[in-house]
Formats: sequence, structure tokens, C-alpha cells
Amino acid sequence: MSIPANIYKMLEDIVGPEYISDKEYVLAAYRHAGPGGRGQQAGPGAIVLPGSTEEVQAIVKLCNKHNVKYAAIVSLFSVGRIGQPGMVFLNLQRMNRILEINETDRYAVIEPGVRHVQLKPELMKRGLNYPTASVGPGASVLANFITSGDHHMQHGASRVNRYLMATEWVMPNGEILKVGSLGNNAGWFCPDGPGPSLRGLIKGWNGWSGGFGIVTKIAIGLDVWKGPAVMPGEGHSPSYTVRMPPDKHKVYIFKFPTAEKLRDAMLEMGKAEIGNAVLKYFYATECSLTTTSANEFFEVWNSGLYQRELPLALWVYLATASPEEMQYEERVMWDIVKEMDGQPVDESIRKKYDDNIDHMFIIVSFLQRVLRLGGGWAGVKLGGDSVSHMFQVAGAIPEFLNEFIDKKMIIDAPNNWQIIPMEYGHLAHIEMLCFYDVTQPDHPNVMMPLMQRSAETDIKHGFHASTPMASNPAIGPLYSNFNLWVDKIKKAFEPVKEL
Amino acid sequence: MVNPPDVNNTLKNCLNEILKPAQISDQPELIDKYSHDYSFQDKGSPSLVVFPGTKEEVQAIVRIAAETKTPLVPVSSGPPRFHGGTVPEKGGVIVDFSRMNKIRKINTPDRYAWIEPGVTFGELIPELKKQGLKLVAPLLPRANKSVVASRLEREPVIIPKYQYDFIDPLMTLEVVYGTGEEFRTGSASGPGTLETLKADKVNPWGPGSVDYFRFISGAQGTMGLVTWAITKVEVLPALQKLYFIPHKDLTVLTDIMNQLLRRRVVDECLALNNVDLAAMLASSWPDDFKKLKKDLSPWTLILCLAGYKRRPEERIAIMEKYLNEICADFKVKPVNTLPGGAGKEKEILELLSGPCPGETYWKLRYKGACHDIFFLSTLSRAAEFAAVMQKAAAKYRYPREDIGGYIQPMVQGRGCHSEFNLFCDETNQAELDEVKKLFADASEALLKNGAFFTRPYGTWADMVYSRYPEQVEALKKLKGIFDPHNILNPGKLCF
Repeated sequence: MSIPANIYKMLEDIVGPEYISDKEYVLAAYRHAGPGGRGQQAGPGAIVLPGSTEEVQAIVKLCNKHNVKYAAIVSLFSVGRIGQPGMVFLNLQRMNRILEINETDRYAVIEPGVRHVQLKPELMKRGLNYPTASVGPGASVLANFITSGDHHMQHGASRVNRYLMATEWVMPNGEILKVGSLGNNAGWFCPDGPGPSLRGLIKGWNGWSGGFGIVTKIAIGLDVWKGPAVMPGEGHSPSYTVRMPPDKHKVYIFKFPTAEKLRDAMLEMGKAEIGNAVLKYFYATECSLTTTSANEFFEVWNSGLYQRELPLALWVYLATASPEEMQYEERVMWDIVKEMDGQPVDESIRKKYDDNIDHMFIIVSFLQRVLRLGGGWAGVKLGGDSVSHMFQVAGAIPEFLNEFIDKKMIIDAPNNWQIIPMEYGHLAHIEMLCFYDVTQPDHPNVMMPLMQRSAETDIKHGFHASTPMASNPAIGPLYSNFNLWVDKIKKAFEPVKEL
Repeated sequence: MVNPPDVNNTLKNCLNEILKPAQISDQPELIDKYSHDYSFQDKGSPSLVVFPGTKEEVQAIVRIAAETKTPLVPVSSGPPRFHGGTVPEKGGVIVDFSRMNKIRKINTPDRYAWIEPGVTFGELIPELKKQGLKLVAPLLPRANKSVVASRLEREPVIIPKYQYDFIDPLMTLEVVYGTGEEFRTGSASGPGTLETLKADKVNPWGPGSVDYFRFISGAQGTMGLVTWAITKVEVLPALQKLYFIPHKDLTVLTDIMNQLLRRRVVDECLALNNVDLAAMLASSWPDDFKKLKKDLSPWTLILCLAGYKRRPEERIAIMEKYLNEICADFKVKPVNTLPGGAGKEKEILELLSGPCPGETYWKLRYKGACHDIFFLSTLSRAAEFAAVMQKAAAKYRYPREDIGGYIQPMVQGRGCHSEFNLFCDETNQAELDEVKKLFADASEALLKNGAFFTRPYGTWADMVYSRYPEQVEALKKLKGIFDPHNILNPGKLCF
């Protein structure tokens, strides 16, 4: 359903005729299903591409005035889930400027359309880096920072939540709120204050997915990049190598006899403050990311190598400023691994990282490969608490997963879960990934039932393994009645309807 | 909003129904202790002081206050207090949390402490030490200072490498809102009750798409009354090595700090001027203080390297190499002996690891009172603000050589707390009046130059909020949700 002609005209007046469309062939691109689903979703009525915060403001105010639903999008990752007939999508891809890179104070100011592939090389040239969500190089940095943003490197850093600094936010009423130091003429460096922190409105564990105003600029905190200024790549994608200086960059993978030993090794490496990345990774996902076709995946997977070596394995990426520091970290790492009865895994698995450290520890460049096995992937859990609690949660995964494996609805990979510590082991994230075939008739019975059974298990045991997404009155009372508060917040910031 | 006597009696009767007699007091001597502090905040007179012992009692107190429209002013720390945040501007009832002082849990593997608001630095630090753990604390907190209050107020800590954002190391909390309803933040939220929840409650974010704990932070008790919180703790180093870099140019020191922190070389990392360092270290007054003040460098960068459980000497050797390399770039040499204060090194290491020793708090030793001007900026601008402060002092003829100075990098060096201490004699009204004018004028000048007064106490609140109406409007919307009757510390901030 397209939008009324008068609304279209007013939108066109805001952005110009070249930046608006309701053509079917354009809208079709916005109707695709998210990964794992099939079929065409409901599409929007028009697409507008604002070029500035002022245009975003004008569009929001116009939509409010004429009661038109709208949503901001930029990476098109899961857009099919939100499209509704008659809705306006604000595609923010035109707002793609890196506004500032402050090398001294370590922050970058960006617009929503800036992609990882755009920002990361600019920062690496300057010896800087940032927590990069495991989404691939084409995704919007800003969208990752205000929605989710877990990544493989958060052991030595944190989730992106900690790196989100001052923010420019077009509120649901169309007015601008500058959050943190920005609102006080003090620059971009601080998200909190003065007084109670309005940063709490922008994002909690996850974000609003475009459902609560539109964030138009953010500053992100930067860390030091310990690699070369330009990535030492050879060949062409997908057949290329990135070999980092081995005296300062090394990847190890260790297997442990029990989950408890694996957990303790993870915690001890945190206390020792070694390792840029330390994580228990998905073993089937690893196999799909490091093989180049579904046939190759099944060849490796069916050999049983990964099931033998990786169910309880710890990936350790050491990146140091000097060879001496590397040697020190290696010695401490080995002390811990030996204490916990760990052993290196089969060298054929580890050695792939000598040629391609990038796909796991710099940017997850092969993410699309996980769709090869049948197109379906269901991520469950996606929550966080302590390292110990995350392992407690993992221990109960068979309670809900086995029935799906026994019925052959998903690939038989019961240990395809990851636990990634943050802040040197102070807290951690857990995620379970299941692969299924979207061409099979029972595929609709996989994703939602899996998520539901997972949530039921967590509730039964009192596990905080996920955070409730929506203001659901059935779930809210289990989580401190948060739904009542979030509803009040939304209502307080909604635009006042004109009579 | 001060209650007339009959309202007070009604209130007292209501509170008597839920609290034991020993938990309520209207003794004038006690009341007076809460009515003022060392700030320029006008005196306020509470009518009662209550001492809740449980969350349920806090909820009951809030509900009575909501019905009777009685202001509640939370207090968690003992005196002396400096910023006016607990002075009851509109009268009402002081809710003193000092009896909610249980350390509920210390978790060694996952490194956190679960504490009630009455737990002090003086209590928690030794308990953690017994278990091989360390509390990352602000510089020389009072022994009777509440750890939870310090975390909620986003006070800077002296090991910036452990801070990933400005609210770190606060993890989760339980709060009673102004409606009397309780709420738990982050992974403490659920599922289920506190009794059935198995999580360690250390994930600060959420639940869902809102960071509820941020609304409570920096709020001076205006958004809710916190009944417990969880804070990160760290491992106690197996080995520490202290270094000093004296310099007259603060810019050099902030540049060095920036380089050290981006490479995660140092643990404790702060710069003090000669006045503050002398006030902390002087063993006898005034002679030792005067000598130290004269002999110490205008600024001293204090750094600590640490080695942990495994191979501590090796770690320190590598970090020492980095430290020397970075310092060489700035043509300075770090030394292990305090220039101008040789022999005080062991004492400094002790001061960095615990609350302030002695009966008199260090800020009161010099002249008997102290007014602090503090704000945030980036490290690269700290020296610029120090110059603004000096200029303002000159205008009011406050002796520049008497201003205390403290520069504390935060969040791995991506931010910086700057603090200037105006020591004065409160019995000398003329001096006090001048300091008051200097305090206001310097604050205004700093704000105009881009200093971020992120914790706007007392008169700073009007100074800050009058400039930013859109933030005030947003904050008032939140206040209307969490404290609809405006009973929680009214008169503070923009409420």
C-alpha cells in the first residue's frame, strides 16, 4: 500500500525528488525476509533518504502530524520484520560522514550510514580501533552500537554499550536531544549526565530497533590497534590471506576435559589480563565460516574432527605491543592451560588462523557462510551475566535442544554455543546457534519453538540468559515488571497528538 | 515544604507503626548534624531521621511520604560531607541507610561484591583483602563513606584501566522508586524473585532497551532509593611498583598519562599538585605540610605498575620498559623516590589502597574547611582548565599557591576528572565570602570554556541546567515517572 499523494509530496519537498520513491521495484528491495525466514514480508509505502539531521526531524514531525508510521533503517539486516503497508522507511545510508576522528582523545563521531568497512581502515591507519560487532563489513557502525553489538574481542575490551559516548537523538516528537557532554557544549567524550543519565533512554542491553526516535550522530570510544596500519592482505576475496606479524599476533585453540576447567581457564586468563580475545566459540559455526561450500562443510563436519576436538574449546588471540610481551603472555597462558588440563587442538584447525586471522578477530567477513547449510539459523539466549552463570546456562542447553536434534530438525551440534567474556572476565555473553533447512516443510517449527523452549528453560531455572525484548505483559512481571516502566517511558516521550 | 508540627506528628505516628522506636529520632542534636555540610548549600532542617533496616521498611517509608507529601532525603555516608547533596533543602525526613550495612556476598571467581548502601570503604576494603581482592576506589575516600553512594555518584576511581565507561564499576542495583515500587536493574531484574534468580546479577544493562541504572546514577537520590548494589572488584596484585614523575607543566603529564593508559601500562594513575599531595602526606602540622608544599614539584604524576598471581616480576619488567620508552619521548624519567618527599613512598602506596587514615579528613587538615570545584573533560584539555582556575583565583586574590589540584584520568584515559580544592577557614567570614565568590565565578568560567559539570551539586545545578532546557524537559519526564509526587530529595538538580 503506497502512502497518500499529499504526504508523498510533502516528503519530497523535504528530501528532494531524487531521494524518495514508492516505485514497486524499489520497495521490493525492502521486503526481503530476515535470514532464516522465507517469503516476502509486508513492505513499506515509501522510502525516503534524508541527508541531514534537519531532514530527519522534518520527516518525523510530518509523520507525527499526519499519523504516518515510520521506521529508520540503514543496514537492511532485518528490515523485513518491521515493514508495514503504508509505512515510511527512512533509509539513513546517505548520512554516511565520518565527522571527526580524534586521535588524542580516542573517539570518532559518525553518522548512521558509516559502515565498518569505511571506518575501520581509517582508524587502523591512525593506530586506533573499536569494538566491532560480529556482523560483517557492510553493516552500519551506528546501528550496531545502538542495537546489539556483541563481538569476539570483548574479553580485552567490552560490549559496544560501554563505548557509546555522546549522542544526537531526534526524539519521537521530532525535537533534538543532545545526550551527555554534547548537550552541555563540552564535546563528545561523555554519555552520562549532568545528573541522571539520559543515555539510559538510548539503549539498554539492546536497542529500540528504530522504534523510539532516531539517533542521527554518535561518538564511539576508540582503543589502540596493535596491528599494521594497512592490513597485509594478499589475493582477492574470498580467496585471500591476511597474515599478521607472528611475533605480536598469535591464535591458539585449546580443548579441556570439562566445562568447569574451560570456565576456570577463561576466568584465570581474565584475572591475569592476558589475551585480546578469549572465547568458547561455536564449533559448527566455526566449521561453516572456515569452509568454502556446503559440501566442504559436511566433508569436514562428518569426519568427526570438530566433534572430537572442539565441543569444549577455548580460542585465545594474543596481540601485543612487543615480542617480549607476547612471550610473557604465552608463558602465562600455558601456565593456566596446564593447570586446567588443557591441550592444543588438532593443528589443522588452528593453522587456518595463521592465514586468516581477520575473519574471527578483526571483522567477521564471512558471516554469510552460515546460511549455506540450508538457509536457516536460529540464535537463542543472546543474554549476559557472569562467566560462571553463562556456563551454568550452557549446562542446561540439552534440556531443550535434544528434542530438536532427535527429530532431525536442526544439525546435530549440541555444543554450538559461544561464551565470550567481557572486561577481562567480569561478565560474559552467551549465544546458541542452530542450523536448519528452510526448504523443509517443518522449518517454521524450528525458530520460534526453539526460542520459546530456551526461554522456558531459563525461567524454570532462574537463569538470566536473555533479556526480554518487548514490553510483553506476560513476561514483564518475571523481570521486575519492567514492561510497566518501559511503557511509561515511551508514553512520556511520545509526541502530543494535535486535536 | 517544611511540615508544620501537626503534620510531623501524623508522620511520626505513621512511621512508628512500621519502625521500631530506635529507628526514628527527632532529637535536635541529631537533626542538626544533617542540616548542613561543608558546602555553600543553605541550611535545611529535617523534622525526623529514620534508619530503615530492610527494603520493605524503605518501601513503607516511601509510601507514607508519598501520602503525606513529605520530602525524603537519603543519606548513606557519615560526615564530613562536602557537596550539599544530602542537605534537606525542603525539610522532610532524613532516610539514613547506615544500618543497612550488610556485605551480602563477595564473589572471588567472578570478582564482585554485593553490598547494601550503608557498607563503607572502611568496612569493604579489608573484607575484600582477606579474599585476595581489591576495591578500586576514589582517591582517599573517607572510611565512613558509602561505597554504593560513591558508585551512584559516578565518582572517579584511581585505576582508570578498569573503567570501561563513566558509570563503571557499578553493575546492578535494587531501587525503591518514589511510588514505593521496587525494581532491579540489568541481570538482577529476573527472571523471578531474588530468591529464585540464579544469575550473579553483574550485567548492568537493561532489562530490554532501557538502561535503568543510568537514571539512578548522578541523581542524588532524586529518582529512587537504592537498597543494594553490586560493584566490580579486582584481584589484589602480587607485586606493585610505584613511580613518580615531577613536572611543572601539567600538559606534559596529561600527555604521558594518555600514552600510558592507551597502552594499558599502569594501574593507579593520577596527578596531584604540591598542595594536595602535601596535605595528604604531612605527618605534622604545620611544619611538615609547609616543607612538603615547598619541596614538592608543582605537579607530581603518581603511577603504579602491578604484577598479578602468575609471573608478576615478568609483567612489571615489561610494563616498566613501556613506561620508560614513553617517558623518554617526553624527555622525563620516572623515579621510585618521591621528589621533594623522599621516604614517603610506602605511605603513598598505603594511601592508594585504602580509605583516608586518621581522625581528620585530609581536606580539612590545612585550614579546617574545603570547597571543591570538579568537572569532567578530556585529558587533553585538563591543563587548559587549570589555567582558567588560576586566572579566576588571581581575580579574587586567593593565593594561587594554596589551591589544591588533582587530575584523575577516567575510562582508560578517554575522560578526565579535574578537581581544584579551595581550602579556607570557615570561622573567618570575610575569607569565606571571598571563597564563595571565587567558587561561583570560577565555576562559571570553567563551564563557559567547556568544562562538563556532570554532577551538578548545589548552586551548580542552576548554572548547568538553566543553559540546557531540552535536557531539563527530558529529565522532568523521567522524574514524573519514577517520583511522581516529587518527594525524593526535592530542590536538587532541576527538580
